[in-house]
Amino acid sequence: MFLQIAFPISGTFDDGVLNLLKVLVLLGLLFYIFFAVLIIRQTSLMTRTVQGKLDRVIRIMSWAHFTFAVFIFVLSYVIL
Amino acid sequence: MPTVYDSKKAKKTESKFKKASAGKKKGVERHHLTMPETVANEKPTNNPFSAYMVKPKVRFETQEKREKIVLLLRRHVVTNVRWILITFFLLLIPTFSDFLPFFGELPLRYQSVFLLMWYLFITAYVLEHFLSWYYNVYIITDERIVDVDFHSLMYKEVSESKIENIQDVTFVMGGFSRALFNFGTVYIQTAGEQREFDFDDVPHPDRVAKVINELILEEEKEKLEGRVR
Repeated sequence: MFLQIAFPISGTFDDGVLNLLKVLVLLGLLFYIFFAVLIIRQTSLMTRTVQGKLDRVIRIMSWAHFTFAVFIFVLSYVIL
Repeated sequence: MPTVYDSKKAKKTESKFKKASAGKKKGVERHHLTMPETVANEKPTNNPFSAYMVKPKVRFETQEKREKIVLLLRRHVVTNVRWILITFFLLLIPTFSDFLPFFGELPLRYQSVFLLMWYLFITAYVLEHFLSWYYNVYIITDERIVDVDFHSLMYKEVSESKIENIQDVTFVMGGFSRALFNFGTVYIQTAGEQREFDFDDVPHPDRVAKVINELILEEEKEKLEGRVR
């Protein structure tokens, strides 16, 4: 309640602010997808350097993370 | 009585000859370095999450064909507690989202997207920390020591030194948590370009130092006896 007094909000956000927010979210997610691709490359480099039992699982995890990032990007584009 | 050819005897001597000359045929004397006494009788470690792996079924990039890994070490599992606790804390933050001044005012679809993004960041945080712990390894083989470091996303550093270049091995186990969980740092001085190898926060540092010392002795014996691989 203190935070609401200290930072008073006028009520619902207007469309302009929401559109700006959508652009920022999509931009942020685009950079994040690039980061997720880097993680896939990093995982590939690591599994080549030291080859063990969990290599396949770790590669799947990195791809799942990338897929999740792409899914959120598409979802944000559609619903926001 | 003249010697009569016996095919059965001939086969036996032929197979004995084959066995005896098997190594010599290739022109190289077959010799395998013995495993250090400390780990010789231990079973190979099967748990891939272990920070102290004896004779692991693992290969590394620059490993030679007949080179055997004696020990594969990582930082002790306890060193991961900090980021694991932070992860639990981060997972709980959305439950307090009502206290954020503007979050509740956003339309529901925006709140959902922000929540998903939050969990995505946590996934990346966990993945990065796990990969950093899992792949920053210290390897001791029967020929050399290898330090594999991944400093950041695309920066890899692999340092190695032959056992014969090792001049000094010291280990340090200081502090309450290190004494409780039996982990510490092993400092290895070498005569090579990389002067010092630090095996940070590895389990059983005393055993690690012992294994290295045994390998050094074995190398010295090799030199004296003139055995060369």
